[in-house]
Amino acid sequence: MDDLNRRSEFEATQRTVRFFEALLRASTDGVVITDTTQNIIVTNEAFCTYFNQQRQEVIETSLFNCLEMLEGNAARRWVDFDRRTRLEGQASDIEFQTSTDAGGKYLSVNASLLDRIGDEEVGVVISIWRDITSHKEAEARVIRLNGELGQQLATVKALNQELESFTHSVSHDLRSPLRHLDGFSHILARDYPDRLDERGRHHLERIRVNALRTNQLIDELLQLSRLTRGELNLALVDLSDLAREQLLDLQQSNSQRRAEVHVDHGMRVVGDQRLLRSLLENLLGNAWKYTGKTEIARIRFTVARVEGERVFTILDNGVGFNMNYADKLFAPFQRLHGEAEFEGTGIGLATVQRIVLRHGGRIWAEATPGQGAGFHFTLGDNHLPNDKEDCE
Amino acid sequence: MNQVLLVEDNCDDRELTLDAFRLRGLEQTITCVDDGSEALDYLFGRGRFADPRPVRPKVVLLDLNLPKLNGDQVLKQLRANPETQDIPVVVLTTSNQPEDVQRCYSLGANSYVHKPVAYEAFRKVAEELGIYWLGINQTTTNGN
Repeated sequence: MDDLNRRSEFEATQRTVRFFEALLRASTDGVVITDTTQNIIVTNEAFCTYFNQQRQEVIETSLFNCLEMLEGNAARRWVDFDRRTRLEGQASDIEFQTSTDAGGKYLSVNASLLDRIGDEEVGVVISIWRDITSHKEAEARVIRLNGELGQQLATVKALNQELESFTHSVSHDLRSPLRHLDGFSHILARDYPDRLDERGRHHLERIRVNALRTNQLIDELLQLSRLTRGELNLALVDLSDLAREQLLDLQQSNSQRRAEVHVDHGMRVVGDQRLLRSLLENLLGNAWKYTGKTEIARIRFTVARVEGERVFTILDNGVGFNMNYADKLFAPFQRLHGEAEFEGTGIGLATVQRIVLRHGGRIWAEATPGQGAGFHFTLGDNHLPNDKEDCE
Repeated sequence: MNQVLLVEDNCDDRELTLDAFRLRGLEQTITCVDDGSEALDYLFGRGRFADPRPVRPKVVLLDLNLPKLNGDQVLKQLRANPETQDIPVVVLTTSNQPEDVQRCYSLGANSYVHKPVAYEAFRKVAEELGIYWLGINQTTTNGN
């Protein structure tokens, strides 16, 4: 090999060394090469920052000087780790924490043994020190959030339990006094007719009417609370059939009323039959009730596809309501008409909304006083449990 | 003749039930006890009912919410004893919760009747209970 070749080979090696030095500097992971006596032969800036030191201060010193600055008995653990690395060729399951002064960072270390370079036996351990603080913090956050979630779940469960027992005591304890009110008023009217005048009998009647109305309110509240419990029992439900059935019932029970009803064919959905029946009972019942003073009641139950979604509509030509109060419509006990005008407890539309929400749908209404009301709802995108298998 | 045992702790309820039966001339057939443990004393002939031992009733009308022993426990003990296991028990209660209905049947109730709040409806229920359990239904005789 002549001088020229030797020089260009030397220059090429120099270039490679510079590249490797730049590579080490650029690395965000700490890199250390230690010999059998734990002397630091090679390291980089990233490693030194874990100890608030410069590279010149660390190079060619004992790794133990650095290890002493770490939390816990880092030196002893490193000795064990180094032994395993030399025995097995590599090791990775060790973590350290830097001192509070150096930010209390969490470091995870991977190491591998470099036994020889060509014919030369070197026996050095190359270790990569990665800062996993943000990963650790995220992990801690997940654990904390999971804990909080678990607590909240327990709270929700306890609240549900409480609600359950409340429901139970409502059905038991509140009904009894109502039954007594009605019973004894009835007996009083029956057994002492000659000692009560017209006015007295009227007052007794008011007691009874109110006792029974309160009972009806309890019934509807219990029904509303039951809607939030239990799983949805999904099945294919024909809303058209259900609606026709109910409208027929309404017409038969008020045969003197004139009504024109229309129900679209084949409105089939996947949902809970019991709940959807209750939904239609309430909405069609309302349409029937609020057209009670209209000469010819017109009630339509139709479906239309709007932006890919099926929107169901129940339309009537009854008294309607003022849109200024539309936001009150679906809240329990809210009524837009006086008791004397139209009877009701104000639970029906709250029930309807809850059923729609449980199906993953939306409900809204529009109306003009004196001209009628329209209720629109969607029922989400429910699938039967075995739908998927059928398709495949 | 004491043919009906009414287990009811609420005196207003007792009075209304007796009133409803009185209309059918059946009030003489009813004996009332206040709580679950009295009901068991009556049916097993213990305590103040040891001597003379009461006649085995044709039907027990049992409330669920009772002091000392509740309706569930009374039902359980009646059904666990060969002497009383076939006495008809009608649960007569204000609760119409499906869970209560199911539990009572699984404990061996013969019938579950929800007390209507409206007195008129309740009177009809009492009347029909009397007609069915004292007239139509056949029961086993005491000790068999």
